[in-house]
Amino acid sequence: MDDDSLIDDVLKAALATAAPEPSPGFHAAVRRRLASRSVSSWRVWVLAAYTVASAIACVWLLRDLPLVLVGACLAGGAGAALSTGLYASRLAGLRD
Amino acid sequence: MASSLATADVPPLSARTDAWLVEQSRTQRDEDAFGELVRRYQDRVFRLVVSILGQEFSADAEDVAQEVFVRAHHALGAYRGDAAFGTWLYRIAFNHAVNVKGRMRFRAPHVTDLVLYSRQDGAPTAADQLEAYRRQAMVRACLNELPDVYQSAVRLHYWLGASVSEMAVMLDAPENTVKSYLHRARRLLQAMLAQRGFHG
Repeated sequence: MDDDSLIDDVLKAALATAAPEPSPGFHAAVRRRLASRSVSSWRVWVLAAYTVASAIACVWLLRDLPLVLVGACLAGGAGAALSTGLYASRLAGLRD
Repeated sequence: MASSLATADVPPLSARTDAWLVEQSRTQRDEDAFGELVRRYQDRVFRLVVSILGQEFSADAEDVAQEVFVRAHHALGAYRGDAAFGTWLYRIAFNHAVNVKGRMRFRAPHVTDLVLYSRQDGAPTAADQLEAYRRQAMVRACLNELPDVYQSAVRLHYWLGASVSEMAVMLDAPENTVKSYLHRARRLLQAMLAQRGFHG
């Protein structure tokens, strides 16, 4: 086992199976994935409207509480939503 | 007349540079421009991914390679153009494939000798055939213990038939470095195989 040609032969034998190739539909599949994950502008507007509406609703529902507590609740809620979103993105394989 | 002349002057996407396609894709959200990049790089990205996943997980290579392009598309805003687009893309492919393989190791199938004996591949099963399978499995197991970049270099060269210059592009390393990856990988494999009592 001290010969380069010997280890060459060993590796060639061990890796002698047919090399796989990308399928003919590879390109189309990537485009489908991109289309399914892209957020269109109207979806961005819907998300923004939902965020603003839920913040206003929170403030209105918590209007009897001290202002500091309302602020803390909003910050905590936003943090929890952000963390959940990031976690869900990771699960979906969008981020490392 | 003027408009038809103007249309005729526009070069097709296939004639555009990578830099132009990236810029077009990033600023104009031109999916066709990114599609052209996919077309240009799909083979090499796929081969690089396969070289890291290895034979055991090659069935997942298509999915992983597609995901590489989706990630690259999402990260185009962060691409500053310091390196060539291909180099940047191969880096994403390498890192993603290494991460995926790390997760896949936990679902590696265990193949017993009994399964190998009963293997239906048209050829008669025999003890010497089993021995050959065992030896190849041992070599592949040793290969899986090498550093990721060595594994990739060995598989690109011995399995996928890539030239040193092609490997240098995909692994973003000078050709001499790639040769040294192969040399060190062979030395390490020899030592590992000898330790396991493998005799050529």
